[in-house]
Amino acid sequence: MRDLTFIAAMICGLLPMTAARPFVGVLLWCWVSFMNPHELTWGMSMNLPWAYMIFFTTLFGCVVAREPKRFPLNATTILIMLFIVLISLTSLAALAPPDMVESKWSFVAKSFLAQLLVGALLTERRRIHALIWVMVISLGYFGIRGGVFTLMNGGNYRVLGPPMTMINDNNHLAAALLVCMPLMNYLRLQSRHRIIRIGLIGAMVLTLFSALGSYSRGALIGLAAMSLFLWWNSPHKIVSAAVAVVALAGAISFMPASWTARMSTINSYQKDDSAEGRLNIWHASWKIALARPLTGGGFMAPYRQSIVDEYDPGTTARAVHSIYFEVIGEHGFPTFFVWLGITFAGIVNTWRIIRATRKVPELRWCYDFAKMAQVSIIAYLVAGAFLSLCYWDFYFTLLIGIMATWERVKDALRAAEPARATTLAARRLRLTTTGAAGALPAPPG
Amino acid sequence: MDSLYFALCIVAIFWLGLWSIRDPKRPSRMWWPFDMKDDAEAPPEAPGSTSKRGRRIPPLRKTREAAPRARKRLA
Repeated sequence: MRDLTFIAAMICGLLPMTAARPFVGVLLWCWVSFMNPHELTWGMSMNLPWAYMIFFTTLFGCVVAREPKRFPLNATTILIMLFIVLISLTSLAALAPPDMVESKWSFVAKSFLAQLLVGALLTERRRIHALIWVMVISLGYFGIRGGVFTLMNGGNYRVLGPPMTMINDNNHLAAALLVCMPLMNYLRLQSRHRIIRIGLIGAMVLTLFSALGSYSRGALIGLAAMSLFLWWNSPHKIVSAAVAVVALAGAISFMPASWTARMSTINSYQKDDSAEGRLNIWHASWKIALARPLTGGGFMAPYRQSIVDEYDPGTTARAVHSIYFEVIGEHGFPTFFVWLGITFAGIVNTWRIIRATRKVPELRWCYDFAKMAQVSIIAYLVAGAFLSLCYWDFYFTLLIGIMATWERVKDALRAAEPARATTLAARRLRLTTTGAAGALPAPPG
Repeated sequence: MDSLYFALCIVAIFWLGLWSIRDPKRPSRMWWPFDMKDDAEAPPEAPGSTSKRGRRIPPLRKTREAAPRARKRLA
């Protein structure tokens, strides 16, 4: 039944809509990438190439439909293009078997190319808002479902991520939900209808329980960092501190003793095999990077025992479990700095948006979005220090959304500039012709 | 329960797709859950335009009284 519903919705509604308006294709692409809905149907649609169908229909729509599109050349897009070039070069010098490298390269390169297409079609406010909605719907599905599961089972069972996705692992899912929560709050701040705002508060609470129910220690650290950042930026520090403490204490007190026991191992990581294994593979990745500083070991190098043995004998090959060490070990230092630069450009864009729109009521949505995006970035950077999510498309789509918002802010400020200049010129003209400075009221702005 | 969430998700994406491509300036009888706080209400029909029902709204007439009043305001 699910299968048929999904196929009918795609073939009869969403794909034709994409051909007419390619921006719908961007929303569909994001939905399929972030949530993998076809993998949840358990039927024929699992085997159909939805991503290709959406991609080619969107391209067709871009050629046929007269929809506004503009490819912006700025720090974010240039760094993403540079990143694609660099990972292609490091793949040529990769140590892992070529078929493994090619498969991972193809996946990552396609994902980053798609980000550029998304950026080209984010030409107006409603499109950016729709993109945030699709991001929230995609991950909110797992947040709400996991939250209900945690509440119904008293937190005794772990919440796992969706199969065949980047957030399959419970730690990855928890970090993803933390990144998504501030975006839910942005939608709450900007939604017109009260029922939607209340619904989003409910979704945020369930998502918090889902993140806790994943038993992820990295997510707990990320949650603490997020809460601290929110509190630091809050204008009402006492009230926000009280709300954060009550909410977190309430949620944590609900969790069972097994959860508390798992979280308390954060302090005694030397005795924990999982934590020690992570430290060892970080060390191995660092050694690979030092031995091959320009190219690293290439995709999948830290996952291959023979490669790890060569650079750090005695360490077991495994997932690196750190966004930073994974990029350094796989691609070397130049690519790492470009990868980090994409995030840095995103942070700078949020600062610019906040500074430019603080006192502009018409651009309040940009201000709210930039503020909440900063919290999402903090969650990713902190929780990601213990996870292998360095190529996570959801996060880079968020950075593209921030870039597009900054482009809209620049456009709005540019449009306001001539109007302001005209008002000032008219005022000067009146002053000279009448000669009475105090007779006229000051123009606005 | 799971299937219900899934069905809701498909409906939400469909609805969002329609919302993202609709012209916000055109009035709509449908309820749009994705509307933003500062989305402008459908603007009043411009004088001289033809409304949906085919009734032509007469343009504003220039009146003789308006000119001296405007002149006075400028002075």
